[in-house]
Amino acid sequence: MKPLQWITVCLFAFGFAATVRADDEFDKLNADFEAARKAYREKRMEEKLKDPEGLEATGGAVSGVPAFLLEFHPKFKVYAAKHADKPEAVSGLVWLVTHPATQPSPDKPDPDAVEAIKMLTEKHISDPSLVKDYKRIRGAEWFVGEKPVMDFFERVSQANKDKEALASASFCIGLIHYDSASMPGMEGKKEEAESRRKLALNMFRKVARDYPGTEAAQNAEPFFFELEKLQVGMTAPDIEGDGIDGKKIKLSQFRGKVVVVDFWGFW
Amino acid sequence: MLPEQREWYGQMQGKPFVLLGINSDEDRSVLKSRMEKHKVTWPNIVAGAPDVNPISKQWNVRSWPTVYVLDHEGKIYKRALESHKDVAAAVHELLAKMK
Repeated sequence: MKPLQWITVCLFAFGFAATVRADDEFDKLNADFEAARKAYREKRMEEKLKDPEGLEATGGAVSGVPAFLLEFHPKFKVYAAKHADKPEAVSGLVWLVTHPATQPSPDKPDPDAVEAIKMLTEKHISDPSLVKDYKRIRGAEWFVGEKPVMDFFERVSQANKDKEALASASFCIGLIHYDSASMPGMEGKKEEAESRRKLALNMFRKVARDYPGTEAAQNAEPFFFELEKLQVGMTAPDIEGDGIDGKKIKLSQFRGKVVVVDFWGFW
Repeated sequence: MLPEQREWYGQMQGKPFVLLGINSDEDRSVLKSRMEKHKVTWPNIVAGAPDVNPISKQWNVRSWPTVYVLDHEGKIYKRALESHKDVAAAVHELLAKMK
């Protein structure tokens, strides 16, 4: 083999190995993180069982952020920086967007999460592997504030051609509008809340009309159900399910009484 | 909401009133003992964690707790209430109307 061929072979092999290694690297890091998370949850569950009245089991959290998260956060940062601008960075950036290491709120965003969503928007917006994470990225609104998330999905709408991606981005924009009505600071702004809710419903209608059969179109359904069946003055749709002892309970069996339907959980 | 609810539920005994919980806890195994410890004695439909709970998904519940108050004919009187005080006030309005 001539030297040049060797170099080509080596470069190819190195390049291939590097891609595989990066994916493995993320999977390994993430698996370690998930194991730590599982241990944290189990510890919390133990605390809850020992003290059922104490609803606030900590499992070793420091000022609201679990210690294991603080331990792993820098590692994901290093991973994302190491693969910056390459497709391998995407998984690391999504992780940083969805796992704030501070206790953030929409008006006090987590700086690393903000930086990561900006990188995703600027460098990776058309990456097909991102589509599955749209929902989680939308949920990060609480960590990064509304604007960066809205920017992200508007860029998807411009840059992406894939039907599922477009449907999902439109749905997420709708959700941002919808949830803005119940964000802190919206108390007393009835008109603004109402107009954002209208924007949301128009978006959901667009998703149902333009992208039938997509997951996003399915996710829009409960919003139409709420609008058409769950308004004041309407007879509530029946609910049926199992009680804690396994016996069937139906909402309609309580006709004749005032009923409070309470969606709740201990968590 | 739980401690207020528990006390209120006791006071409401004998009135034409039902508190129906739609529980969204993921871990069913400890739910029964926790409900006993917390004296959750009113009817509850155990429907699973939010991502699989068919009832909260259909009803588009997006924050917990979410409360609907229905009159004695099953009509929605108030929806998506979050504070116990508002719920109790709505129930008493309806009970007064029934008399």
